[in-house]
Amino acid sequence: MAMATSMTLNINTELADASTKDDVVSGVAWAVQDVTGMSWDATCDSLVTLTDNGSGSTGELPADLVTAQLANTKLNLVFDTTSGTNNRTADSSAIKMSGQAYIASLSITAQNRANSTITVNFTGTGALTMG
Amino acid sequence: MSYIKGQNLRLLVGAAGSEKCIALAEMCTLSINSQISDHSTKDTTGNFIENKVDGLSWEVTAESLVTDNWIHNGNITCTEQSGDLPIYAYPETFHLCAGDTVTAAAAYGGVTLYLFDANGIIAQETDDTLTYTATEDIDVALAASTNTVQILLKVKDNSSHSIQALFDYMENNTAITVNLSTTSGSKNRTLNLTLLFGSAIISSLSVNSPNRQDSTLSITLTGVSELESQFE
Repeated sequence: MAMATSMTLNINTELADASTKDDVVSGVAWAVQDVTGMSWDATCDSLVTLTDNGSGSTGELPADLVTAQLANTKLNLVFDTTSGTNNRTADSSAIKMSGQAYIASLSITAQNRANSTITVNFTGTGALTMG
Repeated sequence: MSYIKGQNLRLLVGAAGSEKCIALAEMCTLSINSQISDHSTKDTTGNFIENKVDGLSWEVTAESLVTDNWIHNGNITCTEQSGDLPIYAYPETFHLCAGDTVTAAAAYGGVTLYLFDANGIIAQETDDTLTYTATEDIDVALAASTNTVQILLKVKDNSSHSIQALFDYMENNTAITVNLSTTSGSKNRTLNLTLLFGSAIISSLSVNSPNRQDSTLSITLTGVSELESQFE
């Protein structure tokens, strides 16, 4: 993401209460949970720019994201440490994660006497995998 | 890489081809939302759910200070000036954008009224009432053939929307065009590049007037058709 200022990745485990009357230990009714599914989402904030810096390393521009959302495009997302020019080269580190997602919401805000910003929320579809 | 300053990214709204800024805007936001639902079935393997996009919606919001769109509306008299100005002139200069109007009416007959810019006289009337509509950004001042007459001077900002205009759109459930555009120029109202545009209705309009503070206007427009992208 070009000119990103922050990024958040959330991985959620959906739990369902599977407690029964059988689940009493020493007189205490502890809740028993079962995993029913997993989901993930991510958010990225960045400044609004119309052009990339022409350094040869490309970053997703707001225009690209709007186009993807309006076309219901499923995107490939990669979360990784980075280095290199403009800090855009993925390191394929031990914490690299990847998956596919849709853009759930995109907001462009233009506050007077501040930089215009864009916030993009991604909702994962399918697995988020490590490595 | 250059990024866009907030004051240079504005909403222009109105009838198609006649879109205007909202006067004294402080902030605008455009949001696009995807309706995503879980389409997982028993055929879905693994723990992660399978989501799909069922639809899209969008809306814009803007916040501004409340104005009646009068740059000047009251009686003045011209005073004797020195230098290059006409001898009897009103000392205040008004900045006009294209579409802004000036109306000056003398209290009695026989008075010639002049409107001039840095290069000289651009309008004059000898029947006591002068009217002028700016076709581009211009700084103007008023002069008269005498300093003893009271002149009703009205300078109107027509290059941005008034609350009345927005309320009329809302009351009539009128779908209007919304552009998110980069702007520049003297009041940041000159459209450079339209990034996103579509049709919307005004779904809410709020005026807030706290004591000892500026009154503010908040407006929300909900998209009623496709939002189109025009980034370059």
